[in-house]
Amino acid sequence: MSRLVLGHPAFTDGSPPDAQLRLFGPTEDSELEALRGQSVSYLVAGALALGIAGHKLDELAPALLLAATSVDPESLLLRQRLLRDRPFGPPIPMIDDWLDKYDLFKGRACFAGVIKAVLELGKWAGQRSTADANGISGILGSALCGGNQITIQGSGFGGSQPADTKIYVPVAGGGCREAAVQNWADSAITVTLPSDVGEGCVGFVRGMGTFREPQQVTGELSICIGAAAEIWTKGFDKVNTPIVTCPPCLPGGQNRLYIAGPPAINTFRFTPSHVEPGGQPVLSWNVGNATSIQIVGISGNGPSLALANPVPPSGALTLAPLGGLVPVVGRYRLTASNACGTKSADAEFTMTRKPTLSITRIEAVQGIQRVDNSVRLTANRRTAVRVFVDSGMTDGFDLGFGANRVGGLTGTVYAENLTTGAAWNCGPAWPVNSQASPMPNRDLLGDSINFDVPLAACNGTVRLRAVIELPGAAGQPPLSWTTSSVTVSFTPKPTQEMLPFLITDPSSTSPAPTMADLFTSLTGPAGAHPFPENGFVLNPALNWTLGPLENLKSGIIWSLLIAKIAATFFIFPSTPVGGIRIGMVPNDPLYPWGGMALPRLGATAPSLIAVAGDPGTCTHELGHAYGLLHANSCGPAGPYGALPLTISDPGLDVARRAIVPAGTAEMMTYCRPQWPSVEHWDYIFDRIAIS
Amino acid sequence: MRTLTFSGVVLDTGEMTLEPGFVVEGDPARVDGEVTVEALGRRGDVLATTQVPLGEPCGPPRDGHAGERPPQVAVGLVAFPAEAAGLRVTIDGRTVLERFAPRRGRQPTVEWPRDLNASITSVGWRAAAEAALASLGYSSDGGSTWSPLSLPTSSGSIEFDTGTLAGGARCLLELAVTDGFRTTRVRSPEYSVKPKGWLLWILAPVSGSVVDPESTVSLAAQGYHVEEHRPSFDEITWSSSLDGYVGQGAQLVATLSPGDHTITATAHGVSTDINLTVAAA
Repeated sequence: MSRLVLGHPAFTDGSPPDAQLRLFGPTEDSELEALRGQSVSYLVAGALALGIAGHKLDELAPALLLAATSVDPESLLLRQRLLRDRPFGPPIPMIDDWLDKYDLFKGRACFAGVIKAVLELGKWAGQRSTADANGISGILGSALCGGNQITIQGSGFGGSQPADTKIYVPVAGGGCREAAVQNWADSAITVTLPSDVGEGCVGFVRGMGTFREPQQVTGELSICIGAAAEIWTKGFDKVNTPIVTCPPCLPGGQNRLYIAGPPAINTFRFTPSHVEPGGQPVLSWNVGNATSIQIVGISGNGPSLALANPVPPSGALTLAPLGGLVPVVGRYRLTASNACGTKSADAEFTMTRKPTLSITRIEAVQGIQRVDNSVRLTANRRTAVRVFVDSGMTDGFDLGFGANRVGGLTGTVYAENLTTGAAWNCGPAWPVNSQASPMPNRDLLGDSINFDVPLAACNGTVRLRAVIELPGAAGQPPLSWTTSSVTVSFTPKPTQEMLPFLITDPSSTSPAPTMADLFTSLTGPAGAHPFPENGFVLNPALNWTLGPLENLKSGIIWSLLIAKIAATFFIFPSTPVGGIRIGMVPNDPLYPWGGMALPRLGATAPSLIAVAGDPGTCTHELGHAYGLLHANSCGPAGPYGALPLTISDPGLDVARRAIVPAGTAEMMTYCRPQWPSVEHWDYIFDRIAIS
Repeated sequence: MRTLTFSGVVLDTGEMTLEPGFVVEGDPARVDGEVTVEALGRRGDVLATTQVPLGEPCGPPRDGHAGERPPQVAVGLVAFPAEAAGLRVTIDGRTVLERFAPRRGRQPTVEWPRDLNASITSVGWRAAAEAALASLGYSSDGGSTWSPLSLPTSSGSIEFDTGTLAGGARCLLELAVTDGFRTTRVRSPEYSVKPKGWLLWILAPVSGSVVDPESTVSLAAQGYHVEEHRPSFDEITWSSSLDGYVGQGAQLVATLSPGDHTITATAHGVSTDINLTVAAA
């Protein structure tokens, strides 16, 4: 590790970089937090490695900090790999918010604070002690269990315990621990065994008088870096122990504890612990210091083991091939006991099909989209990215989501503007239960992993890069992951001016329409037509009350009203406001029509009226106002245009996150539900805006 | 060219009902329309002919009206020389309407408001012809441009909201009154109208709305500069009497704490608010 660290350009190359990772100060950006976590891990591991290797941290600490915060792709990838964090994934692109200019970075007070913490860590790791068993001739003790006492016999121990000398005893599982001295004489030392005493050798550890605890590390790192540092620093102010060398074993075994402490379960595991169908995990165990050993199944749907209890101290058992189309999980427990107590350990295997994820397609959708992303996109309009993922499973294996389907996926999409280089994170995926499948259904939102592209990213030529993962267990790399990208272009479109008429019908008991009703109605075309965000500019509304003979329950009055609205333009033609004339009438269930529209006839203004608060009708009538004719389904009047009767591809109301299956009736039919076809989208796209 | 606005609806009987037209300057329809409109002289002689397209407007039927279709509509401008006194309308060679101007009466009388700074005001008018219609327009620039303040109406009093009228020193009202063949435009004296500057409309939610706890609330607003005729979106900030700053932008989705909120939108120094209740969990 120390060689790896010292090979970084921050140590070998004197030229300063442009910027470092913004390591200091608060942040709520989870991506930056993750990058900071990688930097702190690298920093701590590097300080310990350099300290243990005996390097002088006083000179190397600044370079180590710069190496830990380098933002060149190689450094990012190195840190990811060292920490087994998406080890094969490409580094995420840096955005300006995550960077700190080099000079500013070095000038911050926290730069010095973190350097101080690195020096402390290095000094702690670099402390030296020695261990020996000088003078020991034997060990006296009966039951070598935790809490019991033993006497170390020998000579030349001295009349009292030297200040820099401790007694260390072996602990179960390897290593050693200090034992509390009860009595110290020149030829006999009595100590109390720690609770985890195990087999091994007893002796002296000397040279500990200058032990330094790294007490300030936690404070410096946590204050300067925050949450990302805490996972590494929580323990440093409670270390209270140096790194020591355990006592050696004397050739004659004079200082060895042969059977000490409770049983030691050295091994109890399945190898491999995860197998594919047909796999045969091998259960192996190795137990020391036990008088009785049993292995039993405790949970899961794994097979019974062909074992007769008690079992020998060590052994192995190969399971029969594990088949089936559902996962098998077997959990087993080994219990070993002796006079000092009982120990147990659990082993688990899983038989499951490991998916091999691959992204089959990425679609950028604003209302409707083809599989090849050939439906044009409007700049500054809400856009969803649908990432379709193949599970790679075809044998019908059911992981709990249906045959060949994989759930529990996570992912990220980055939108990178290919002109400016700016990049945006498209946020969390939705819906939460999206799945991978070998044959995803485009009509189901859950068959794609979906993301919202930030509005600011919906401009120009943009590469949408997706990384989808099936997470592994905590701290483990993903079980499978896949990445792909697609490049799309967003075309700027102007806003559509509207001149609203809020029409009160005294003969109706339904409420008079309001601007809020108009807005509700316009959510229909805002979601279904290619207008940009805030794509409708509303002029002040003209409030109008119908006369006593203008009862909209009569169909002919509708026709007269729409004709009147369309023709009013002629009376005052030099108007400074204009656009589509849109009349809102009460949403009275007794009215014969939901709306009415006249496309531009000659020189008339495009006009429509619609009942208040009905987005679907408003979308349909706005289509007419733009000049679209009906599609002949569910009984509309002719003449009919060239629109198809149904939509060829699924529609998506991005704001509502609502899918409209392919085959749904075209918006310009009278069927419900309706959605604009690709042809409809293209028609409006080419004509925005009209006046 | 001297033209007449033409708004006709074909009835089930095959005849046409015609809204009284306004004489305006414009270009008559230049299409091969299904409706032939002839401007007639006093003795029925044809002075001009215009073809007007006949369209069947869309009319998605509501429950209980399946299969019904709106009547056909013809809208446009038809040539109408100064000496014209009547109209003949034919469809497929069949006369569906023939009408002559009523006897010329006295000029319409108009009662203008004293000023245009009250919130709601009205213009009163009277005309000799029984079927006369009037339409009201407004100019804030001495008559260069006009905005309609009403649809054509037979009502003798036209109310309008002055709160959205562009301000200026030389503001005018104009009433166009027609008997279907002769149109008189009467112009008001000049008014001085206070500039309105920015208006701000909260478009969602509706004031008084009650939302479920922990559900999101969609907020929407638009600013509009009355004199400059331009909108404002991104500059709008939102706040709540209970939760403080909520966000910025014309449209945003917020999660608000339970209780009675006064939601305020602010832009360009103008604020407007609504009341909203988030029910307790």
